[in-house]
Amino acid sequence: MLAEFVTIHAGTYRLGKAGHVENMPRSLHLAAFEIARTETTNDQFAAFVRATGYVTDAEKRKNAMVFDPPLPEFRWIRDPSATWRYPNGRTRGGIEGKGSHPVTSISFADALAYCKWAKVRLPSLDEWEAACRAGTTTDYFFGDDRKSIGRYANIWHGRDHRRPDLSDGFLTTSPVGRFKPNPLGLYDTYGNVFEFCTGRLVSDKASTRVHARGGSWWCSPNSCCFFNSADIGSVNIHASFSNQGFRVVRSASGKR
Amino acid sequence: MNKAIALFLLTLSTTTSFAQDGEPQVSAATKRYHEYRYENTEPTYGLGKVKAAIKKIKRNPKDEEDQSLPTPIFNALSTKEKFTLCMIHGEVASQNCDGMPWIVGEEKKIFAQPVGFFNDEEMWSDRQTKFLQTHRGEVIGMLRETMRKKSRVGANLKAAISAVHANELIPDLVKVYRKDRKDQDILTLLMVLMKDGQYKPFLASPSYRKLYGKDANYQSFVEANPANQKLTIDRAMAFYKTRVH
Repeated sequence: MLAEFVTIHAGTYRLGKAGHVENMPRSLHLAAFEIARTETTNDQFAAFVRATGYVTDAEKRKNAMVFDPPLPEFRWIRDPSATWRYPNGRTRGGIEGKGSHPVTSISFADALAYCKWAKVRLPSLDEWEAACRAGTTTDYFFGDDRKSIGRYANIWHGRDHRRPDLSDGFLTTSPVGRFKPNPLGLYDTYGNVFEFCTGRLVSDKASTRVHARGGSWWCSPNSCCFFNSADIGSVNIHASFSNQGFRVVRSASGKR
Repeated sequence: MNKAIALFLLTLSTTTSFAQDGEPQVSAATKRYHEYRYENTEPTYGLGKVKAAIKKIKRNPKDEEDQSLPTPIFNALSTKEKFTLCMIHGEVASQNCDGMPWIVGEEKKIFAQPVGFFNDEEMWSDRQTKFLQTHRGEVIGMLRETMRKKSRVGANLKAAISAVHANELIPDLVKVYRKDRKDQDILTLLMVLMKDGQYKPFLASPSYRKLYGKDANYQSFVEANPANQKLTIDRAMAFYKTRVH
């Protein structure tokens, strides 16, 4: 049940993308850290809840946003019954048999609470990108041609979200590690769930705005295409969506 | 205009220009235009009352993310006040990837979609969307009046026009656009209305393929040059005549 970690060595990393004002090309030194090979799963989150009795934002506030096609682009439904146990609402099924899927319908604040309990933390925006890029400077760790994305990521392949898309076998989340990893052995850095990161952007005005990266099962080539190494998503710190999750990091104590 | 000429007139480019060192050249004009795109246009109907009600919810530190008006207060608002509420406040948080970053030369581009409203941080709740749709006629009247009064179609008004497929407002949109030809998102909105209305001459056009075709995404664009501006307006007015008259 414990996360497996991959060490990202201390060093100078090339981050950002030309033309991306929120994430300009730059070289940056990062201290060594360890990052989970996979996104945090339902089983891992369940262990946290069992140990602490933690109640998530969505459980308290009944404000989770869920997806149920057909829906217009970028449209989500607020479902008071949705929680991490029922990520798209009770009527759309629970997480039984989905212990190895990433936990979703949790907020950034919930992810922080998990991290505190597990003695880990969320990656910074820069750490996430360095780990995802694995030394590459292209849009994807496999190059610039996104045609291969389906081998590495659980995304939405439909033209829009008016019809369910099961073309890769998954309507929403897939078990973590089902698709091919990046060169460092990290799975699902693109797709499956948006992964919360710490850090601020120049455009941030509200203190309640937080960020997530890597795109999700919802993201399609014709909508936002955020399943890449450069783009950065935003959301309210207490909002819960069924395509949001997280991956944890920890200090690489004593490791180079 | 025949297809060949239309194809010639459209400069369809996805390339972005960069400085030699790889840093993007975002001019002051682009930065100003990016902010301008996100501006909302406030209606005047019961504005003070609605703002006061919103302020009350935002003041509650325990529920900083729950932006819904209490049901009795929402229900007690008049139709005009509900319209104002929808235009200045989204009751639920929005997320992640529908926000557009600054784009080099943004002010010279007609994008596939207008920017999100409320700075991409809020969106309408189900009851707000339902209100707009069930009161479509009155909503269109208030949208028209607000546009005329303010000579502006903010991101919020554009979202409402799109949500209720207000093809009736096409001449009003064109009039505001022609005032200074600054707001290229008005042309975007005209294209969205034609797309949603399945207007065949538009569906068969190069601009449709570029903006909404197989390889398009929400950051696809065509250049906002005079030819494309004219073509879009002429086509939208022709669409309007087929739908309204």
